[in-house]
Order: sequence, then structure tokens, then C-alpha cells
Amino acid sequence: MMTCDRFHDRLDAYLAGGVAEPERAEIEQHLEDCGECASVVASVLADGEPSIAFPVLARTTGRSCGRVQDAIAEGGPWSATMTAHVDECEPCARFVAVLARCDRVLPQLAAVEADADFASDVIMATLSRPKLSRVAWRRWLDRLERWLERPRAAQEFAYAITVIAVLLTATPMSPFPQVSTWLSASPLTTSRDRASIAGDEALADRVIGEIQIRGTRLVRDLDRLGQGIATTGAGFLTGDPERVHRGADEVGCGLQSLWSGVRTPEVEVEGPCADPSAVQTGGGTKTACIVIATGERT
Amino acid sequence: MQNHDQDTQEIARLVRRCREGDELAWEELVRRFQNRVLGLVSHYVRSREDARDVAQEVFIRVFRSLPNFENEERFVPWLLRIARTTAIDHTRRRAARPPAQDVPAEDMHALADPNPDPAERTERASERGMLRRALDRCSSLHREILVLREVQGMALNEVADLLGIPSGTAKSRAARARAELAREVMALEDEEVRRLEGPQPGGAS
Repeated sequence: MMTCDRFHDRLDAYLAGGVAEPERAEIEQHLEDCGECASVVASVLADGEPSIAFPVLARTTGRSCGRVQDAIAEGGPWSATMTAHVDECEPCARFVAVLARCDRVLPQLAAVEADADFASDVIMATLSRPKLSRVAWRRWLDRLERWLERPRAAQEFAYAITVIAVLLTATPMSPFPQVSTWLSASPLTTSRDRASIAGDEALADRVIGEIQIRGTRLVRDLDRLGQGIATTGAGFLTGDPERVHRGADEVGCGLQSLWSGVRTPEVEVEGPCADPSAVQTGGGTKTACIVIATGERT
Repeated sequence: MQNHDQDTQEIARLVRRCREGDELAWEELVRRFQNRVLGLVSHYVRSREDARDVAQEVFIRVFRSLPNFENEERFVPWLLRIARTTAIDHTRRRAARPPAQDVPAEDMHALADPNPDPAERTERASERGMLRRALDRCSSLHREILVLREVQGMALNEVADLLGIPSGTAKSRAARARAELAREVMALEDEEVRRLEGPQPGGAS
């Protein structure tokens, strides 16, 4: 025999058509016996006047809040009794609201903002060497760019270039020593010219050969030479042409004194040593040749 | 739905390019999914630094497995599966070999502290903070299915597949988990209200 309490528990399922046969018969029997329960069902089914039916439904399914909430959480379609219950039951209405909020907010928890280096760290860890070197290369380029953006970078660059240029061309050990003759603005630019000044080409060749050998050994004037280089560089840095020239002169003088130091017994010059016009117009290099020639003669 | 399909197609193209050795595609893939992987991992691994390490390991594993991965349309579930496995591996390693100094690292889901200033209180009152805390209070079984299904938006059959359970079980577990979460949120709200109504001497810490 079905009691009203049990009928209330099963009312929802019954109205949703979810009660199987033996129980269904029992429920229908109960509806025939119990007028109150029959009127509840009738008022729900009538769907016309909810004011009576809904409070009743709230009560009848009230003890099944858990069941209603589970059904709501499952997310299926709502039965009439579920709707009625939620309308009347405050905790269940709140449950519905909270559930809706969960649905809305939960997807927002899907992502956690990764820090800026995350992806590049992953890529560094995964990609093969060529990629790594590409990344490193790019990083160096960035560093260089930042370095060049500093205010004094251009001047420092000019200084470095100057020092390199002077070292390459204007010292006795430079790989391109002939360039120093252009630097010192001498009209005599080749060894042929210098040889002709001495008047005796064979002798001049010997002198020059000697100079080249000794020149690499004589380093006592390197300090002065370095000073000349520094002055030239500073002149470039400050845009002071006078200092540039002075430095270049010092470098030239250094070379000149190296050359004038070459006084060997083998060098014997007879007769007039040089073309007078060359002496009048000469720069440092020419003077050097003449010093060598006249020094031995006297 | 159209949009979703387009997304899937685009990701599949990206994955295909990765498999062909396109490094830019790989970079894009990492950037595209880094937040999501980190998000999933951080539900398993509490400390932020550990979560970052684990997420990186996820991508390294993905990169190594890409040559053998052929079903490009199913990339996202595959990625999430690797993320989950890696995170669980990590927590197991951690459990087997706890750190020498057991200082709980900064919690990503910042929990309530006894004496918060108003700004923090506002922060905690925010919906996300509330939900994070509610998630933390759910049972781990329910939390996991919530994270996969509701947070990451995986389909029910994908979740069932991933967890190795029948889809019916997954469905009912997801429903129970949703209910539990909603109840935890309500409980947290009630606690909040009680705390705001009046400080009880010698009350909750």
C-alpha cells in the first residue's frame, strides 16, 4: 500500500513518465484512493492555475532537494515539477543561480597567463641547433643595436676605426706600410721614388732593403708612435683636424726617426745625394731619405 | 560551431606544418597553447614555479611525440592528455620524494588569510577566486572531471576516454561534480557572510 509520503517522493518521476509498471499501478491506485494527491496531480496537469499547484509541489518535492539539484546538475531538460520546486524552494533557486555562475566563470579558469619568456624557453629547449644559433644570432644583433644607440657610440666607433687604420698602415710592423706614405701626405709614394732621390738606384734599393730589415727590429720609438696614433684618434673623435694632422705628423716622425737610425757602414753615398727640389717640397719621408744619405757623407 | 570547426582546421594545419619541421609553426603552436596548458597543469601542481616547469615539460614531450602523432584534428585532446599525464607524473614524483624544505610555494589560487586588507578582500570576493577555492574543496575525483569538462571544455566522450572510464560513468560523475561544486560555492558564500557579519572571538583562523 502506497503512502502519501512515498507518493510525494515519486510524484516527479511519475509526472515525467519515468515510473515502471508495477509501481505505476500502485501510484494510480493511490491516486484513486487519495483525493488530496489526485488534486495535486490534476492541478499540475491542468497547467492553468499554478498558484495552488506550485506551493504544493514545493512541499511534496521539498524533501528531495538533493534529487532535484542532482537532476539540475545533470543538465537535462527540466520537468514541470522541477520548475515548480525551484520556483518555491529558496535554496534550490540559489543552487540554480550558483550553477549558472559556475558555468559562466569556470571557462575563465582554463588559462593561466604564462610569463613572457615561457615560449622562448620552450623553443630553446626543443628546437635543433640551427634554430638555436639563429636565436643566438638575433640576440647578439639586438645587443649590438642597443649598444649602438648609446650617445657616444659613434665617436667610439670612429676612434676604434682610426686606431685600427693606423695600426694597419702606419707602424713599422704594419701589413700595409706603404699606406703611411699617403697618410703623411708625401709626394713620394713608392720605393721607386725614394730610390731615385738617392741618385743611385742600386744603392737606394739596398738602403731600402736595409731599412725594412732594421725597421722591424727597432722598436724604441713605438711609444711615440702610439702617442701619435692616440692623438690622431682623439682628433677624429673631437672633430679637431689640427690634432689629426699633428698625430699623423707624429706617426710620420716616428717612421722618420726609425729610418734615420739606419746608418750602417755599408751605406756609403757619394756625390750629391738628392734632387734639391724634392728637398724643398718634401714631407717627413723625403727628409728621412736625405738624412740617411747625407749622414754618411759628412 | 562554424567558428570551432575553423579553429580545429587551423590548428590541424599548424600541427601539420610542425610535423614537416616548420619552426615558426611550432613557435606559434606553443604561444597559442601555453596559457591553456599552464592553466590545466596548475590545477594539479600547486606551486607556480613547478607548474611552469611541468608545462615546459609538456611541450617538450609534445615536440618529441609530434612525429608519431597523425590525427591532427584531435590535437587539443591529445595535448591536454599529455599535460594531465605529465602533471600527474610530477605530483607522484613529488609525493615519493618530497622536497627537502617543505615550504608550500606561493599558491596560485591564493587562499584566504586571517587578516586580509580590504583590497585582498575584494580580490577574494571576486567570482574567480571564489570558484578556485570551491574547486580546491571538491574531492579530487570531482575536481579533475570539472577541470577537464567544464574548465577546459572537453567533450564528455573525450573526458571519458582520457580518464579511461565508460562515458555513462563520466556523465554521472560530471553531474555529481557540478552539484558538489555548486554546494561548495554556497558553503563558501555562507562562510563569507558569517565572517563579515561579525568577527567571532577565538573564531575561525
